[in-house]
Amino acid sequence: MSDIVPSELSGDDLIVDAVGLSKTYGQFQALKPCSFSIPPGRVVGIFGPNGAGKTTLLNALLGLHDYDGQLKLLGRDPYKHRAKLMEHVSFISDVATLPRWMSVSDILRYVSDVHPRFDEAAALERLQRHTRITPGMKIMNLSKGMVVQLHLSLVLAIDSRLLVLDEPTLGLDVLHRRSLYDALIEEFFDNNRSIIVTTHHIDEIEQILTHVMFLRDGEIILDTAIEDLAGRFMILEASPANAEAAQALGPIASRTGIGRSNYIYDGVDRSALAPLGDVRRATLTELFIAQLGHPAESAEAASGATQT
Amino acid sequence: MKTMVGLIRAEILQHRGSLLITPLVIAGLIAAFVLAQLFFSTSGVNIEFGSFDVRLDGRRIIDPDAFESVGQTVGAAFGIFGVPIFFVANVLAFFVMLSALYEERAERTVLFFKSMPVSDTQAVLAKYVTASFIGPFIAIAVMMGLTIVLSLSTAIVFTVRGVPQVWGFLLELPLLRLFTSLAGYYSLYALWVAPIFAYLLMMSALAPRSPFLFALLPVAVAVIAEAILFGSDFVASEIGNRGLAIYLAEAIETSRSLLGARAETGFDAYFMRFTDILATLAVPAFWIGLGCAALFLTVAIWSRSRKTL
Repeated sequence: MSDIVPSELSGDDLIVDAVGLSKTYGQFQALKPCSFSIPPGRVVGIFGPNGAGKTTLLNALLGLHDYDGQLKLLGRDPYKHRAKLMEHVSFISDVATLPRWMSVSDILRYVSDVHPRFDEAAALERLQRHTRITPGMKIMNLSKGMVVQLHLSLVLAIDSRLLVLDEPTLGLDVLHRRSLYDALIEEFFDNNRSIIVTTHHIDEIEQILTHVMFLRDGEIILDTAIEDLAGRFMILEASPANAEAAQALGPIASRTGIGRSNYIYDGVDRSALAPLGDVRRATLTELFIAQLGHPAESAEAASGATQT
Repeated sequence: MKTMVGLIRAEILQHRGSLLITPLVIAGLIAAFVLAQLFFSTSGVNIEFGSFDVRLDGRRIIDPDAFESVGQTVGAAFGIFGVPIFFVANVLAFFVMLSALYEERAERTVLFFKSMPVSDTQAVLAKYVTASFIGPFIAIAVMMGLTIVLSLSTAIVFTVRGVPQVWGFLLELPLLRLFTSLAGYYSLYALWVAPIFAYLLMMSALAPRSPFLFALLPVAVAVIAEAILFGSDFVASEIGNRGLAIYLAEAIETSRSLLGARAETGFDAYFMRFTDILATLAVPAFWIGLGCAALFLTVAIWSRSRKTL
């Protein structure tokens, strides 16, 4: 597994530092022992099929359940110091519904009361500038998109070091999804902060990621910088005549189409592939399906991509 | 402190129907009933509650022997009107406690609240303090407001009807004493009943579903099993003695008997004394109950820290 920590950073500078982190529920190991680090200035996408262990990993990071192994969030054990750490960590989860019995002004006041790093005026100003939400509105009367916008405005008005988003765009239309990700980069992200995000809309988030993690069956099977992906994973579109030669180069996944077949390679030099057909960089979605997809599912899901 | 105030404010907001609106509605209904009698009944207002039988008919105010002045009579009589408010507030506090930690999981708001820099201890204690103390104190405040409204209305109506020197009794109204006594008595009661309320909160944290059944079934089983196996009723009587303030009343009665060597009567008997507090503190069952409450709250905090949904 690659370490994404620049060597000049000490442990205390890391946002996240996990060594042998794992989580077991009874006999079921939801998260197998893993080690990784996230320094400031990263936007890390964590991807995996349902049940891969993404939420278990995020919940461990957020101190929402205990775990085995060592885990430091901003230098502290998140399970023991959750409340203190939440001064510097924000998160939005699809299942974290805002309290419907509050009005917008109620929730602004509540966060202002309990969060020392929350700027109520900034949140209000953002709501007025970017949304049609007014302080007098009841949360129960807001649409799903408006609730997300409200939650986002609350979170962006908190001066935190880490923002964790667990499927934040579920149920949102493409415009809301796009505006959410744009806001993250424009209004939150800088070199002193990091973002961790999980989503099933991989293609929509690829452009803002600096790093990516793939989980399968509770195990991190890929942890790398986005820029390293471009030179590492290649797609070859080859005619049937070159199929044998393409297979000989050891693709990690392939999909047979009409007249042409797609092959995805890990670490094979572009110059070796070029004589066999059209070569291009694999998208994150293609890589996701190649690495994590199951044959029966990926045949439908790939739609022009690759299949294991 | 600011965090705790914010948490309690949010709790009141969430349960405002139970903690705020219901006492106000009952007070409004009582006020409407009494004012209707004042304005429209030729026989005036009749107040009967236990040993009280006070009549305000515009021509005379019958002063029960126990009271020394009209102001005391009216104040105590109207104060008694607040008893239903107080009773309902306690019943509602029971259900608020039972739902407090369950609903945040059922409504899936727990993750939002856990995304704030608030410890599980703070969150649980805020819920406990709100349902156990703040809600009933709101009810007491509403009772006092009702007493003031009814007293003023009485004075106005009697003045219009030509009753002389009516306003003088307002000065004799023992409002402050009534308020501090109610708050003091309730605080002692809340401490006596703490193990019951803390148990409800714990079950609210542990219940996977239907916290009402989850909380009541073990108690019912314990009561029945005790009756069958030992032929005793310790669990049931312990709950009854605490919940119905019997322990509290016994402690106060005992101390007053010892101190005064006679049963107290009259106006003063209704108001709290410092020795009432000492009498409660001297009862071992009081401290055992607080120990149980602390244990139950600890389990509730532990459970909340481990459960997300």
